[in-house]
Amino acid sequence: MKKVIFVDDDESILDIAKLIFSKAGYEVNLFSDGMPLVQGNFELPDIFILDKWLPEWDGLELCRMLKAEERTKDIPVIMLSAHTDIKKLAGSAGADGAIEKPFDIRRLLDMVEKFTDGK
Amino acid sequence: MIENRTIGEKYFTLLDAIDEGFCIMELVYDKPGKITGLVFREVNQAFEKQTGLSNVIHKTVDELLPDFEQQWIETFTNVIKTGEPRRLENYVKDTNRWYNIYFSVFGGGKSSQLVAVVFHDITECKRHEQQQEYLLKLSDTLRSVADPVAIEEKISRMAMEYFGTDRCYYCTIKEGNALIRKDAFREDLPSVAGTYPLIHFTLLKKMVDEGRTFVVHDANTSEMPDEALRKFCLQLQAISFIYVPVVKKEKAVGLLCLIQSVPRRWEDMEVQLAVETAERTWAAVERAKVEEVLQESEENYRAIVEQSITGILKVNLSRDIIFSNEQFAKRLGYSIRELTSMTLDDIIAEEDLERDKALFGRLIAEGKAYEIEKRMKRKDGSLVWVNNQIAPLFNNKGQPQAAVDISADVSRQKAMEAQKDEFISIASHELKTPLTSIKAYGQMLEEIFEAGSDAPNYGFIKKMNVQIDRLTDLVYSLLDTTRISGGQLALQPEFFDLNVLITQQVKEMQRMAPKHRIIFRASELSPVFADRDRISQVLSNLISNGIKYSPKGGDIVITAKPKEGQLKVRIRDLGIGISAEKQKDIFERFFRISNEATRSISGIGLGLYIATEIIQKHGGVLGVESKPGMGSTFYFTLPYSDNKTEDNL
Repeated sequence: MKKVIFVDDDESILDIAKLIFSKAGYEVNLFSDGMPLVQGNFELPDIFILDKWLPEWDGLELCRMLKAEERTKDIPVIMLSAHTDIKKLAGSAGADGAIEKPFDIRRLLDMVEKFTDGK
Repeated sequence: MIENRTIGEKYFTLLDAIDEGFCIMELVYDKPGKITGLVFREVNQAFEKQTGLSNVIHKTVDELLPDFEQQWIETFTNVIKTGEPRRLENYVKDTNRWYNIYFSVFGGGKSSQLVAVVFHDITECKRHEQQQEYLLKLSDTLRSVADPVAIEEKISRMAMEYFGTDRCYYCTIKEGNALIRKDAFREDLPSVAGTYPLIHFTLLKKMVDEGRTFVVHDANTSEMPDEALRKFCLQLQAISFIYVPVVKKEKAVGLLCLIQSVPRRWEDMEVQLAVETAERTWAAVERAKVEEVLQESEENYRAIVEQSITGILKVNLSRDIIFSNEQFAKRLGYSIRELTSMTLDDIIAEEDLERDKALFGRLIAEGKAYEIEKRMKRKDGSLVWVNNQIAPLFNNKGQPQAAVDISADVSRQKAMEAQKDEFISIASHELKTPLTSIKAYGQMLEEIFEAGSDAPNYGFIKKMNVQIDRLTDLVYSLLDTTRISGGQLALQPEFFDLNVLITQQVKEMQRMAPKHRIIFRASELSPVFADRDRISQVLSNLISNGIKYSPKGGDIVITAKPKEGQLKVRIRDLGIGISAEKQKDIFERFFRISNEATRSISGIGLGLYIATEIIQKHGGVLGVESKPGMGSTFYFTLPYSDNKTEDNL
């Protein structure tokens, strides 16, 4: 079963993420901030999905950090944000994809599937 | 008595022949040797003609010319003592004449008490000199006075003094009245300043109108052309006078009056000088009046410019500031002096400089005025938003030679706009968060109910999701406008197949518009280089407008064709159409066509504004062709190259 780590500070988004990814057959780990990622306190997933606006650690910072670490640098990262320029910002932080909020569930699942295909 | 008379005889025959006056005078002493007088001993024939004095032999100077005895005795004593001749210029009041007098010792030896006196009348020369001096003084005075009334006053005083009259004034003649503003008069006389209708003095009026100088030596006896005038003159104690009218373009415009309260024999020279004075007075008053009008007009404009609450600036074609009003200088915190040694480039913010220079270049080349909102740099380095209207100033050949810049401080409006945009931006972001959840929940519900058999609930949820999408679009639109006005609308262009994009859009829109038939007539196209999402947004907006504004249904036809290096996409509907005067407004922010037919159509009037900005940002044009009731065709263009190899695009 493919593993997803989903980080967002909005409870209802985490709730939704749990529902849709479980339903789509993923194992999903939810975090409401970036602390576990910074501390390395997590099981390696097949993909990271990060919100941009997070307390303490900005999503883009987390992305850069993951991409800089040997352990995680090859794991795809999708940025998810209400920020209108998220695609550009995500690109410059080394993310593999970006989706603007409010998002279409289908698109998100398609993108996740694309990046984790063959793993 | 003269001793060697025989020699003297000979000389006297000679001296009688010359027209210069000649006499021999002797100093006379009393017993103790004190000088008692100066006695005429001999005179030549010209003497009487020159002096008007007859039978002077053996008479003393004291008897004939009492004013001069003392001066002459001193001169004589000196001449006798030193043997040096002397020359004097004397004015003789009794005869009103000037003389040049030459004294020298007569006869031999130191004991001689005789002095030979040769003299001649220099009155004409002297008068001429005085006239020149007077006229010079007149000119000097007139030059330094700018006020017409002051000129009239000064001239009246100077002429009265020079001519030695009791009264003098210059009146301006206007609309049949003689207007005396300032007169000069003897201390014991009253002023005659005031306005006098010439109609009351028919003859004077006639003479004035004819421009004839009017000279009266004695009003009591002179032949007066009019008895009423004589009466009037006597009443005013104007016994002798010179009236000099000034006539310009066959119209009397001024009158100089020199008046004496006793009879006076005016000399021709004096009359001529009075005419000259009148002429010069008129010229000076006219000049002053013109200057006054000019100055008034200049002050008027100056006040408008100086006290204006808008900034006013004049620059030459090299953009050097050559004038600034107070307001403009104050706005930037400079002094006017500092500004006028600067150029436009020194005070425009770097961000706006290129744009301004380009427009200024067009102003020079084509004489076109322009309007620009730009940031200007204050002395302290801070920036101020200014709206500028810049218009060319032409020379007499019709070429721009400078430009005037009228500006208003729009910082407050700009700050408010920015504040408003910031608010919309924050509000939109805040709206997005709950919207994200609602949308996701909605989609999940739709999926759940789609699989089940609860058709009515599935219908509700589908409708709910359509509304959620509309809400999402609205939030995006609001955010887009704030990005456009903040200049932050950035494109992410890529190569893509426009036919595919349009086909997708048509398919999606058709689902939501069952009453309409959306037809796409595709042509063969090379990939375009553009922001796919943004072009999709434009298409979506134009198609949904077509649907919205043709409420009765009908075909919506879309074409995309290359033409002259451009790609033109047209979206035609058969709806209500747009009147010509509204066509230019529909691209404005928040504009909506409002009439009976459109009242029920929803929207906040941002779609076309955003679409226009997106297309312009791509270097294209968005426009409309429409007639009320005949439907509308919206079109947009994109830069396009027919070459199929993407590398060349």
